[in-house]
Parts: sequence; C-alpha cells; structure tokens
Amino acid sequence: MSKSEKKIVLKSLDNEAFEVEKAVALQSQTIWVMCEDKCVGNEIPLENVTGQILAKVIDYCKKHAVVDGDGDESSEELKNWDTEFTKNMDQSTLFNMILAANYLNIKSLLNLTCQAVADKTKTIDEFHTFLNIENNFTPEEEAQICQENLWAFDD
Amino acid sequence: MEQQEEKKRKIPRKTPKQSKPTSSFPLDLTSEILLRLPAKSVVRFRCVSKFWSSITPIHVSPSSGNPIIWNPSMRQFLPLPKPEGRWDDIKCCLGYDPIEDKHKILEDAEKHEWSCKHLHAPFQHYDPSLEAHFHFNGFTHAGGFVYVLNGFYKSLYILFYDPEKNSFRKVEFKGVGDGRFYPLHTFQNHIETLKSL
Repeated sequence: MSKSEKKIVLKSLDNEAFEVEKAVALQSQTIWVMCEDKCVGNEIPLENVTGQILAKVIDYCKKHAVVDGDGDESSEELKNWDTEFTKNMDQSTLFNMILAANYLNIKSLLNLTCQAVADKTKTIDEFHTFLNIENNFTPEEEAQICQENLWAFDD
Repeated sequence: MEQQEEKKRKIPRKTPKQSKPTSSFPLDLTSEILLRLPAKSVVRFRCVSKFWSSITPIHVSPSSGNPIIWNPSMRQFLPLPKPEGRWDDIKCCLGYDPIEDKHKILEDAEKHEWSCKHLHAPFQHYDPSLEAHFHFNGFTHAGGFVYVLNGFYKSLYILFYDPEKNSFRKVEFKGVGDGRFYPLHTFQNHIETLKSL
C-alpha cells in the first residue's frame, strides 16, 4: 500500500477538509462501508457533520486508534482522556456529538457522549433545553405525575 | 436519517457555540441516554413531557424478534418469550398472551424488583345494558384493565376493570356522536387522558 492510500480526506458539511490516516477514519462503520462499497476515492463527504464537530470526532478516533494500535497507554489513561474529552463540552456540542457518533456509527463514542449527557443532566429543565422539547403537561398534570413518582424527587 | 437531513438543512455553515439544537432528538438516541441515567432521574424525567411519560415507565421492543421489556428504574432488560403467531396477530400491550388468555403483568414493586403475576381476565366483556361487546385495550397506570367498543352512536363508553376487586366500572362520555354509528380506534394513552376529564 502506497503512502497516499493510507490517507483519507473527510469533508464536512461546511466543506472543511480533514486528512486523516485510514486506520483512524475506519473506526467509523459508516466510513468503512463507504470505502468498501462506493470506491469514492480518498475523499469522503460527510453531509451530516459540521467541521467543528468532525474535528472533535477525529481527535477521539486518533486517540483511540493509537491506543488500539500499539497499546502504549493503559485503559485507565484512556478512560481519563475520555472523561476530559467530554468534560468541558457544552450541551449543544454534546448534542451534535451524539448525532455525529450515531451517523458515523462509532459505538464507543456514542456510548461516551450519551453517558456524558446522562451524567450532566440533573434537572428536568435541562432536559427540556437539551432535547428541545416542550413541556406539554398542564401544571395540574405535572403536579400529579410528580406526586405519583415522589420517591424519585427526594434526595 | 430523515431527522438528520432535516438537521442538515437547518444548521448554519458554522454552528454558533451557544446555539440550541433545532431539530428534535431521535427517539432511539433519547433511549440511549435514558438507559444511562440513574433510576431516580429516569422516573423524575417522566415529568419532562407526556410523550416521555408514555415511554419511560416500561419499554417494549418488538422489533428484534423477541420482545424485551425495559425497566428504566433498575436499568434492567427482561427478555420475554417470543409470542406464538405473528406480531400483527396479537394485541400490542404489555405481556398479553392471547393463546393462554393470560395477562402477565410485570410490575415494579416496592422493592423495585421484577415480579410476575398471572391474572385471568376476559378478553371480551358483554355489557347487557348496552347490548355491546367491549374488548380489551390495555392497562391503566394503576394496573386496571381498559375495555373499549369498536364504535359509538351518541355516547362513548369505556370500561375499567379492577382485577383485585374483580369489578367493572363504566365511564360514559356524553354528547360525542350525533346518533349515527362512528367506528372508533382507541389508543391507550388517550384513554388515560380521558379518564382524568
């Protein structure tokens, strides 16, 4: 395999191009299938992911590819890296990371980002904001359902 | 994929840092997050919306062959035996087995452990005063059974069956129809809403 074949270019929704090692990109099942099926050349358009998000996804894949490759880092270190990785992400970024991980089909990243949201979301209001959903209970209904599940509200 | 495409259209070239997500979050991904929440939060988030309230107490997934029930309070999955016959042929409600005419109720008891009760309940109920056959439609929050009619003329009737007391309670909604026959499709959540009217 020549050197150029080892590289692959990922193009984001907003036309930002990222050149990455094939081994890094192939952690995405979606990209793997694209490479297998379509022979798209070495440039792959990812129409659902913005450059800002794709950069983060690539960071994650690079980290995990290196570790899987030569095993010079312990799983403990990797876990710490994952924690740091999502720690400072705002809700909007996490939201888009989940969508990207889902679209690109990277199971471990989907797992990580969903867990991060679950850990960070403490209040009902946060969920309303995060998922952009409307609270369609009347105040009476809300009071009733909260009453029914009262044990969950005392800390 | 549809939602992702919708998202694509709505996203500006550069996503501003503080932008709020504009499209609704796909349900399967919402479940992914729910699965990772502690028990209390899941129950707490039943108050998020009516839709969430309907999906959070239990989750039955018939898509992958064997039905699976999810107890979010314990974050436990419980696989159920595959139903005899096709999914199209059976009532899609919790643990109903049309072959044995049994209802298997999985409940989250005080200990918050799975337990299983086998209850015999009639699949149909004939009401002599209305001269009508009610058929089983689902459960209420309180564990009662709901029976409905296939249609209505003037009033709309719903029966609630209490398996503990073995008694029926009839609820009439007056002035719904004009005397002509209207076929009626009943969805369980709507019944629960009607109940509180």
